[in-house]
Amino acid sequence: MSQLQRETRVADGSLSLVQAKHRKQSRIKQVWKRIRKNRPALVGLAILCIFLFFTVFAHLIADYDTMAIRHDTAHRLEPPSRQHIFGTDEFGRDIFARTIHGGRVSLSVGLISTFVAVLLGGVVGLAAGYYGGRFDGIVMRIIDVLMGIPVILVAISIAAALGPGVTNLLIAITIAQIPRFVIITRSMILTTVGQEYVEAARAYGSRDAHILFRHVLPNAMGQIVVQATMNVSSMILATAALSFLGMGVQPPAPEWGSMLSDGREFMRYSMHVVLYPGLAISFASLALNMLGDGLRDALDPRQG
Amino acid sequence: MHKYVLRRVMLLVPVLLGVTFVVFSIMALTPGDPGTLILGQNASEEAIRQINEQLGHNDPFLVKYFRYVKNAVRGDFGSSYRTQKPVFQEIFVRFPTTLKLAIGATLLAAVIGIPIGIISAVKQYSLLDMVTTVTAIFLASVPQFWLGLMLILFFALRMRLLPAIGVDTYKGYIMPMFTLSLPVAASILRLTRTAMLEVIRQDYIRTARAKGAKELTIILRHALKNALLPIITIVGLNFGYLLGGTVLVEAIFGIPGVGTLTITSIRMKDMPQTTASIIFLSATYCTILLAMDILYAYVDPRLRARFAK
Repeated sequence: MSQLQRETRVADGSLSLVQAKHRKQSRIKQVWKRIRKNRPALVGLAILCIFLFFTVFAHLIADYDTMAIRHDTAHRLEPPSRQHIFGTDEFGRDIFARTIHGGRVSLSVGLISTFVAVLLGGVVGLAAGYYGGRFDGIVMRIIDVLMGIPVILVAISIAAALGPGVTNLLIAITIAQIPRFVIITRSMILTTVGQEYVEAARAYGSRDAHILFRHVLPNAMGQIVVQATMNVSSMILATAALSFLGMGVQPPAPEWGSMLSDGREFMRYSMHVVLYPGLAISFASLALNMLGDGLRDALDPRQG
Repeated sequence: MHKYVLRRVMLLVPVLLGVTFVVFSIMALTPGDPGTLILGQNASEEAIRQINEQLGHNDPFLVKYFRYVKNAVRGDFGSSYRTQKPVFQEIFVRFPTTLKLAIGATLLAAVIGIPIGIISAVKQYSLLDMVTTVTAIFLASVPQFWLGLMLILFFALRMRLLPAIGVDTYKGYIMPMFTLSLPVAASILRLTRTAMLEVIRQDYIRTARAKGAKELTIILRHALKNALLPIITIVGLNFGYLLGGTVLVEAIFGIPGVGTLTITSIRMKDMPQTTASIIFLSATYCTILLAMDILYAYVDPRLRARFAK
């Protein structure tokens, strides 16, 4: 390598590093600025923070054993009051306590399963989209097959095969959504790989890993984050649905879906037993959808 | 064009074979043996072993799988452990109910979603637009089984207008159809709005306005026609999704469809029935997706031109 080339390379390298850092910061700032202007997204973020606060500190707000699990037959099916703000269920357990403890399961299954699915699906999608060719062909045929089964049926059958329990529920829900993220990542990568800057990097002699992590991923990441945010919402619904069908969390542990299925017998005269867990699911999912919508708008380069 | 259609139809075969393999593998993970399930826990070990032997339960996985496929090609998907009847007999009895539910819900969703989506786009940023957008986001977030429970609570238990469970009369279909369709209507509404907004800004709309065409003609003939493609896709996709989604709604409203059959057989560990039901629902789903793809190719002049060459 000639002296000139080396100098250019060093100069170019350091410059691009500074630029990249600057660009990254300003991009996050830019996105945040746009989100701040987007009222629904802010409302979504606020609701989400409230949920996170209650679920993270659930054990400090209401004791798990005495309030969410222990039966209190003297106070069965009491309507909301100052003592029990969401009322009590058929065993006299505090519904507010069960809702916030139940939120731990729903939110963490939603978040963890999406995170793992993004990671696993992402790696496969990345490799398939970037390398293309035969590998891509094989991956896509497998994905075609997996996408041929409705997601909820995949989750239900895996959950049924593994048996009840939170871990099995988590595994079932994670596996069910991996194909989706393979497809999303792959299509994001495909649009990015065709760009001139990737071609330039390749012509420049950059290694694959460098191109992938420096050029391709950062540009595809935005859309993946948007999809993941929306997906957490769907997975919260799926978690609740599976528990509602009796395949997830087992009694007496609280979970939003199983609280609904336990409460349906009593809803005629005690509506609160199904109202609050249902509202919790709806608002958690709503918050994530609103935030996802806002993120999508904020990341849209067409927006000024 | 015919070549394209034929190729797509042919591609369905390996996909369905793959689906069979995946479903069969998942079911193979389930603990329990057919002997115990058919005869019950109290049966003698000898009898249980005999049944297991007879059904080839102890064979290696691949042997079992290929036997399954070989029989399936001949139309024999096995017999239910519970009823001892061929599994498809039960599926075919129940499928019309599920199909009615899915078709009804899809149509309802389209009837609600498309017009409101158009109005929302035409009157962008109006109060109506804001209200529908917020309602649509909310409906897309509400779990179907909760929506179903709330409808039962108000319309069946409190107001006594509709039956809470069963589909003996047409009235029984009303709540399940609404439960299924509202979240779908929300997604159709949002997509229609986006698609219309994009089209409304095009030059040919301005031209139509300039030449003095009536507003309604502009919207329906010039704009909607061009925005229709993505709308058709989402309606079709949702129809497929609804076939799977009926599982929950059927469970809530006690509807004897393929969905409840699947859930019941999963609970009873009735493997042949579960496997066949899931394969059947998936095959229907794949067929609908394929039909949508082909329809798309026919409707879109750009695609049609490409395949005509």
